[in-house]
This record gives sequence, structure tokens and C-alpha cells, in this order.
Amino acid sequence: MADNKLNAFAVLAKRKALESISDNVRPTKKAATKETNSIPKQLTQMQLSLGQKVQVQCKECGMDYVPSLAVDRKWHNIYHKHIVDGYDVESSFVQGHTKNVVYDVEGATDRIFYVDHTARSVQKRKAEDVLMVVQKELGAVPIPRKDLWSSQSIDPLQPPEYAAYMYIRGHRCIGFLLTQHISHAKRVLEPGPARKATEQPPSLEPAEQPLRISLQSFPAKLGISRIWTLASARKEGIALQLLDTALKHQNRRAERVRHELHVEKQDVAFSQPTEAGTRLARRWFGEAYGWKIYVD
Amino acid sequence: MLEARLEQAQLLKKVVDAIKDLVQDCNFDCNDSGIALQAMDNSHVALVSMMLKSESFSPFRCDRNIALGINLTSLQKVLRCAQNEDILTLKAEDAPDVVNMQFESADNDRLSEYDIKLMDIDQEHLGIPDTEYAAEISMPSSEFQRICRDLTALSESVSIECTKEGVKFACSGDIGSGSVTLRSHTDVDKPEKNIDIRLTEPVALTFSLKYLVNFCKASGLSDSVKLCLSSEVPLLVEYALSNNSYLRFYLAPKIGDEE
Repeated sequence: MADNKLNAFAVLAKRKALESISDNVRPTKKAATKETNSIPKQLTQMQLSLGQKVQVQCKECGMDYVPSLAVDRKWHNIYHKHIVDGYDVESSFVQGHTKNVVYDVEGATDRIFYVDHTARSVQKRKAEDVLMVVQKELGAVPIPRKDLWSSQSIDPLQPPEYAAYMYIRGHRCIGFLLTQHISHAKRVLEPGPARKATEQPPSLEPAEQPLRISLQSFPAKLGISRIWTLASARKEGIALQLLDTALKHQNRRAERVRHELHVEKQDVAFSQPTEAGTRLARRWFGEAYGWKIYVD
Repeated sequence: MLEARLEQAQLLKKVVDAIKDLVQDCNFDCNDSGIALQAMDNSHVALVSMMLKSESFSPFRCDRNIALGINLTSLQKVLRCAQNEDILTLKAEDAPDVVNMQFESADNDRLSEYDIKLMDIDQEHLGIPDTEYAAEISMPSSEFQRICRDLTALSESVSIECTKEGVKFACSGDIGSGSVTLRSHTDVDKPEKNIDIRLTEPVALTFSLKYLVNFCKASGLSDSVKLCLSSEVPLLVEYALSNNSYLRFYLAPKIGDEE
């Protein structure tokens, strides 16, 4: 350091012989920096305390946060956008994995992406994140991450336990479907006049109109484990599109892959549907009763 | 029903210009004593308290207590449509969805009218404790603005030290340090140039210049500004308006880590 300083002086002195050295910017700057370093003064900004509410809950996304903390506001903004506008999968997801597109709307940025255990870990992570949001909104029991992508082997020929279909508009996920491999399910029956409460497991009874299901099990192949559409994108047929796409995609796979099963509509069963889920199922199957439900 | 007529639109224009960088949405609480506003900034470091007394309006009528939740950016947009000298009339129903604003030009027959949609803002009413301040400094608002602006160039914080000799605004930053000292001063010809320091005990506190510069946007509202300090309480910066109306800012100090 000392040598450098000396050299700089020597060179400048030669070139600008007539100027006083004190006009030279470099040494003064060095001196100033040194001085401020010697007195490190750390100040903390206080906050006003007038008994104001410190923590608030966002009415739209339900997140509790402290608005006076910048970091809390930042996380709330991110979370709020995920809830209100749909989870942001980022454009790299959309552009980088076009081979996973199983459905593409002409003339729009809407696409459905397929994610299963063979997918890249980046994709799986995004699907898990969306699933977390979805399960929170559905009030569903979370599926442990390790079970989600488990399979008998990582052999791509083996059918996956779970598979996710993500409906992406632009780069926001506005619809989500998680399918599950199942072997049997129960039928939804017409409500009988002399219905006994013991006939149904209580978890299947929504308050409004309880679903009555058969005691007997029927064979089924494809389970609709979780299905969800962003609140602001409902009534657009996104969930129906997801179901149709999942069925078509499953059958395309069945043609190519040995272990995959060919699935008809009647082989599909819903896992404990919410009221909205029941409405969706009835619309998709085109019948109020007779479709299948399974308990996962 | 609220109806408040302001002789000069510029009063409200300037108030909104002064506070809208601190607060985004807030309630204008209207009752028979006038229109009040109280809001904290996002980080709970500063608080704005405005009171426009009914005497500042002519006429003023407010039958019931109404809270007008307004987005200040929207309000500013509408107020920009008014000339400074226009007569401004605020109107709202008892349970309003909108607030109506009329601007009448004094020298021609132009009458413009705007409605601003209201928002439902959940705002707490905070009690600001009465404080006996150790030091009260009155000075020309332009002088205070200049000091804050000059010192911002050097540092993020300013220390305000008040002793019986005078008041010293000092800062130090990466490039160096600076200070401005003011002494009590009485100008008989121009009383608005007076600097008046009332002191019960010496006090020194440090504040964020970013906030102070922000407060100084209210300088156009009043020729003089009053700073009130006591150790360990927020600084009060008050711009007095006519008819006992006022615009006040409170700012929490910065303290050094003493651990």
C-alpha cells in the first residue's frame, strides 16, 4: 500500500509539477475514508408506539404479518400475489419444460403441464409449492412430500403413485390437479328415504347435502386426489379441462407404457370432495349419483 | 351530510402533496369541529396528524361523524385539476360511497366537479399523549427546509442539539461532516423570519433526514415551523395554519447501539 501511494505521488508530481499536491483528489479521499472508518456509528431507527395494532391479518390472503417491518411486507406481497393471482412458477418453468405440456390453448398463454416423479426436481418443487397452497385452501390433509413422488422404482415405465397437472396462464398457476393411482372406490348413491347415519363414514358428509355412498367397493383406476382453481379464475371450465386432459393424457401414456392402465370416465373416483368438488364431479360425470368416491 | 367550502383549493392541495409520500390510504374524519386526519407511515416511524378546523371553511356543515377513506394518490390526481385560487367545496352523504369535489373559478364561470370513490379503511384512532417538551424551536419553514436539504447531501441522519446558545443541526457521512447552528433572532420588520428558542433543559436527538425532508414538503403551507423535542420522545414538527388548524408530523428518533 505504502509503495503504491508513493508511486502515484511520484507520477502525478511529475506530470503536474505546477499544481499543488493538496488539489490531488486521491490522497484526500483516502484520508477521509480512513477517518470515517475509525468512528463506526451504528444508529437504530426507533418506532412510534401509540398502542397501534402491530400485527395485522390480510383480509384477502389471510396472512398474519407485521406491516411496519419491511421484510414482513415483502413476504406478504409475494404470498398475497400467489394467493390472489396464482402461484408464480416463473417464466423459466414455462419456457424450459415444453415437453411436459400436455394441453395448449390456441391463441392464449394457457397450458397444462404434467409433473410426476420422473420430472426435474425444479418442476417437482414448484408443484409441491402449489400443492401446499391448494391444500391450505381446500382444508385437506397435507400429503407428505416424500410420499408425493414415491414410486415402486424410479423406472419411468412404472406408473407413478401421484401425478400433477398444472394449469398455467402466463406464468401463474391458476388450476391444479393431483391424480393418484387407486384400485377401488365406492359409489355415490341416491339419498334413500330411510337412510341410516351408520351407513356413511362421517368425514364424507358435507353439512348441506350429505353424500350417501355404497358399502360395497368397486374397481377404480384413477383417483382425483386434489383439484383446485384460483378463486378469480373460476367458472371458466378450467377444472373440467384439467380432468379431460388428465384422462386423455393417461390413455396416451397407456398406449406407450406397459404398466399404465387405460382409463375410462367410470374408472375415475374423487377423494372426499368439498361442496364445490361435488358440483364439479357431477358436472363432469354428467350424473348426480353413481360416480365414485374413495378415501385416501 | 357533509358540506365544506374552502376559499382556496391550494390549502388542501398542499396538505395532500405534503403527506402523500408518507401515507397511501387514510381516513378523513369529519365531524362538527372540522376535518381531521391521523395516519402512520408503513414502518411506524412517522405519524401525520392534520386538523382543519371548521372555522377554516366557510360555510362548514357536518351533521354526523363521517370517515372518508381516501386513497391519497387518487385525491392528488383530482386536486391537480383545481387551480390554487379556486373555491373548493367538499360534499358527502351520511353513508357515502363517494366524496364529491367542486372547483369554482373565482374570475370566470368555470365549475368543475369530481367524485372520488371511497375505500373502507380499517384505521385505529391513536391517542397522542400530551407532552411537555424540553425544547421548542420556531423558525422560518424555508430555513428548516434548506437545512434538511443541505444536510441530506452528506448523511442519512441529523442530530439536533438544543442548548441555551442555540440549536445545532449536525451530521456526518462518508464524505465528511457538516453542521448548521441557529441562534434566537427577532426581526421586527419581518416577524416571519424570527427564530425563537424556548428551552427548559438541553436536549440532543438524532433523526432520519429522509423523513424530515419529506415533512418539509409542507413548507408552502406556513411561513414558520415549530420543532418540539424532548429526550426519548418523538420529535414534533408543526406547521400552524390559520384558524388554529394545523399539520403535525411526529418522528421517532434514532438511537445509538449502547450494548
